[in-house]
Amino acid sequence: MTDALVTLPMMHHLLWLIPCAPLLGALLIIALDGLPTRAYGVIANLAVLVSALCVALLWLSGSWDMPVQTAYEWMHIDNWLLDVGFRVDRFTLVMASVSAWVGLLIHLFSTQYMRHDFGERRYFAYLNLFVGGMLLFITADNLILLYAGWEIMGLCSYALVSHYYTKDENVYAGRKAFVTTRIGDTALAIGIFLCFMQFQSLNLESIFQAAPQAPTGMIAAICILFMLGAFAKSAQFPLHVWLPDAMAGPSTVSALIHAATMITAGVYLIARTHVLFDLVPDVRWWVALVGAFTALYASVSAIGQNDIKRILAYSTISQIGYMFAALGVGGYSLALFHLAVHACFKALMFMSSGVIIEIYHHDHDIRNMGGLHKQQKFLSFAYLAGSLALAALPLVTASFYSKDAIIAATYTADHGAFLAGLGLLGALLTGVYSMRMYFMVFTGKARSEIHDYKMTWAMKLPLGILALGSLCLGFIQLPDSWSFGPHLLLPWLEPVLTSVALPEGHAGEMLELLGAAAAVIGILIAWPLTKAEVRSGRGVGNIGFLNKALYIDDLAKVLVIRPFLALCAVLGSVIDGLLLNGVLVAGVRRLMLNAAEVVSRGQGALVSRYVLLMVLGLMLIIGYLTVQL
Amino acid sequence: MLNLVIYFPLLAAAAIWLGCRERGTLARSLTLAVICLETLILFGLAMGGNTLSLDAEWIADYGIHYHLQLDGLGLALSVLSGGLAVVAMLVGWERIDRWQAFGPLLLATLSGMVGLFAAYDLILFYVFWELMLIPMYFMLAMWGDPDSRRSATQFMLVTVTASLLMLVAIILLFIAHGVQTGIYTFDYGILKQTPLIGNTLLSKLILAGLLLGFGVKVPVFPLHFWAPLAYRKGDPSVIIMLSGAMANAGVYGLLRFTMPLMPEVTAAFAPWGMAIGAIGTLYGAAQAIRQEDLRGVIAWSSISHMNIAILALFAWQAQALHGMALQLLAHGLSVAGLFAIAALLLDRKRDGVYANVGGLYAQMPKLGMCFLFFVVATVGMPGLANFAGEALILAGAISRSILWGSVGAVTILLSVIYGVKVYGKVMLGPVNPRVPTELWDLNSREKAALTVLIIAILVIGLMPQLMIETVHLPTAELLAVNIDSLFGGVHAID
Repeated sequence: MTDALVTLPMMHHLLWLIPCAPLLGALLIIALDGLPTRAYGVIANLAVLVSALCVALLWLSGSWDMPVQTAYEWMHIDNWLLDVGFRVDRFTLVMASVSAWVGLLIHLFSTQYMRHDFGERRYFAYLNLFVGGMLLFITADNLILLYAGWEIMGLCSYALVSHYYTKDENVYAGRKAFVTTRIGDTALAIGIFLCFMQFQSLNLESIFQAAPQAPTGMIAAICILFMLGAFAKSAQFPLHVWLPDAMAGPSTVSALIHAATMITAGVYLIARTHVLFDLVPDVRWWVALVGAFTALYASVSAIGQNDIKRILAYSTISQIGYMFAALGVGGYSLALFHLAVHACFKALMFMSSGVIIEIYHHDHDIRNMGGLHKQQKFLSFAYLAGSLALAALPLVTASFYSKDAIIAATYTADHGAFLAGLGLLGALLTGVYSMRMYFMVFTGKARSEIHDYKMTWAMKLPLGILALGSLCLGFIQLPDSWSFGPHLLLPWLEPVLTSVALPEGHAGEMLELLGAAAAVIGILIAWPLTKAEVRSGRGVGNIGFLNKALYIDDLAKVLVIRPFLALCAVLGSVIDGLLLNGVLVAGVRRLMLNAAEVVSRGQGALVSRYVLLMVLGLMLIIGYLTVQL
Repeated sequence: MLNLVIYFPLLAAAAIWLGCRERGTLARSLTLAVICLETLILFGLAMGGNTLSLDAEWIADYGIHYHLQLDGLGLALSVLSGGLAVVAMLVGWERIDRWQAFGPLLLATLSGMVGLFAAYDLILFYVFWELMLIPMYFMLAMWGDPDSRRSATQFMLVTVTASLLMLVAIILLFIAHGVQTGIYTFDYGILKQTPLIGNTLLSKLILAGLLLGFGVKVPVFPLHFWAPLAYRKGDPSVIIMLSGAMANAGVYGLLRFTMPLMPEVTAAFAPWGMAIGAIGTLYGAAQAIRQEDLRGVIAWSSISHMNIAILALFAWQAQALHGMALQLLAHGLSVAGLFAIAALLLDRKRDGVYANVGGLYAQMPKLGMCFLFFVVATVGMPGLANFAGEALILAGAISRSILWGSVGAVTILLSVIYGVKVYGKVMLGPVNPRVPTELWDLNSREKAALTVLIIAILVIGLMPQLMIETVHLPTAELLAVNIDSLFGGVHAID
């Protein structure tokens, strides 16, 4: 494997191009005024293509063992030696491939999807910036640069979620996304500063090397802060509230956020810093718990949704939950595996959902859809591939190999049966909601008018590739217990990203069977459920408790947002209103006015006189001093 | 040379005042030319990287020297002041009337600022300080909202009181130093050779006087009470100078005259100073969130960001102090950008109260993009100037005190809340029916003003090392006062 197909010694001088090509693309789109609108799409596509090709060249040249490039000194003050530097290892390379290539497919799809839409130029600028931010985050060799990419993504999510800015709720959704994730950013930033305090370095490699000698308390604090950052960015319970609302943006944006960039960043962060997390297994276990719980919670919520994009949003939260469960038990490479698989089917489903919504004339409600299979065969098959991959249909879909391995891995941790139980239950429900969505949209009779929509190659090609990925990507890494077939990914990642030994013997076989059974049963339940819902007009989507996702969002409004605003108001009224302006300023003014009245002059003249006196005084002083000179 | 850069604007002010009594447009052009020239000279000096100095006896009886020394830090802040004056002029080009009066006042203020950044003698510093402040009062009172006179009055009263306290503190310092060493002098260069020893009542009083005197200008929490009203009511062009350039003078004064001149008492106060900075930062941000108008948000945001500089100042640590210098520049640029946006909206008869705006982006996408850029800079987006400052400050502050550093870091969250809120309320959402339909997007003059700021923010953000090197020598010199060696663990409150 390590033999290079082509030797490109230049490659480690070109690392900077991976994140910077899309960033420069965004800059070009902003700076070049007056081009025809299509040209901006072309620039954006080319920029990401450059990144994607660079990543491909890294694969071809076999340079995945830590090429490092330092572009320039960013800030150097004492021990704060901060460079703009990039680094690639095997883990980075897989992650960068997912982001760059899936990002490229989404860009390609967008050129047709967004044509004659609204604000195309702005859209492509942010889209490029977004991919650039993610690649910067992935390839950064120090914490501050990593944080820079992380923040750029936050900004882009804000701008793109509120892309259709003429509606207040869209603007609010964008704001909610930015602010909620910023909670995590703040934690991450404090964690980074603590890292600097402890290690007097910002470089990832040197921190990892020094970590074992550091006090455990400090490492635990840093890990907890990083964990909070990851939870917010990756929409884990209870910081997931922004993601369902983030569906206000174009569907392609959702595809980008969920598959190629932002949401997966939290997973990457913990995997990247796993050296620290390995030192504090107790903290790490909480990652697993929150992940497993979120996986179940979000799949419960997904069942109650009628909006096609909200179903997909909750499905992402749930799938990312599995990845966190894997991280929490030390199965880092398993999380990465599932991340790549998830990227394929989720990008596919979001982009398809955009087309579906256009076909049903911008109605998101799956209860008003139906019967699309006959009209759009290609779309139907692609979406079926995605839905089955989401449901993890055994043997033929990729996520069967990635997700079931995660469930098995959680079993090995403390309270493993509990964690695995949450995961299995979630897997069952995933089958239900995933296939309910598919059946409601594509089968039966059309419940509202179906518009014509012709997809060009620029849309079909990305969907086709992603559908293939959703089905076949799993075959690169069959379960360990199977003696046949390829086991390519995990052993190759082993030097940089470890995993845990999966349970063997009866427990292992049992979990494998249970995982497969959960998916199949879920899919089987979905069919009668959908039929009943179509017949009666009422179904799971009418259950308020599920539809409102257990009222967590409303609870947050009451318990967090309102008290916070009230606190701001109270502080302001007390400190500024009452103490400073009320007592101090008003008191002084009264004194002054009284004094003025004593002199029996108008109050308006007071200040002018005061200033005049001051000017005179100053002149006198200067004059005196000058004379002395 | 040093005298030239200080007095050139002042002389020009006198000439314009006398020469252009009735000719406002001529006065405007001349003022712009003078400020541009002044800024270019200062910029050239800053690039040269040399420290300029000049020392002469002035009033020997009282140990007052005519001692000027303009180092990298002072130069950087002076260039900022000049640049902001240019921006202030460009965005007030049509809106401000009576340029024959406004121009000279602006020039005099600028003169005062350059002078005080160069002053190396306490009395000289005080003279320039007053020179900077008095024109500001007239600019605040005579231009701005119709009811700006009241806030200007308040500004003046507060400022005069603070200046007085500062003067008393300076004189006490003169006496205390004389008693301690036998040398009675106001010369900063001599004073810092033999800093005041001991944490006595007298030194505490001096410190308190300086803190109040300079703190009002910053404005440090809780001395900020005059600022929101003044920032909101004054003409945005004036406020660009007041909040972007002049506020720096307060921090600069604290930086120069507290720790180096009386390290022990300041070190003992440092933990409290950090606490004040951190709390003030959060308090300012929390108030910005609840404002209902653009200028109110910017005002509180400015207060919040200046208090981070106070956090850095009292952390007295390498990263924090370098970060502070960057923060002063970055804050000046970004707050000027925001007030420039407010000015442009005012030119379009929009006062920025939420009820009267909304959905402006549809008509003015370019202005909207610039607005978003400044908001994003303000919230500390990496790659832009403010991030460089804030990251260094917070890293340094956390190294000194985990508690107050972390408290200050919460501003990362709060700033984004008010930032995107104000942007959304003004530019996005459905078009407000009260907004007239014929608003024009940026014209070339406005583009020029905003481009200057945007480029400066980008350059400092992407290559902060340039600025770090400019301010490194003076900062290193300040850091020679090592807080760690004083009082063992006084600063360790966490």
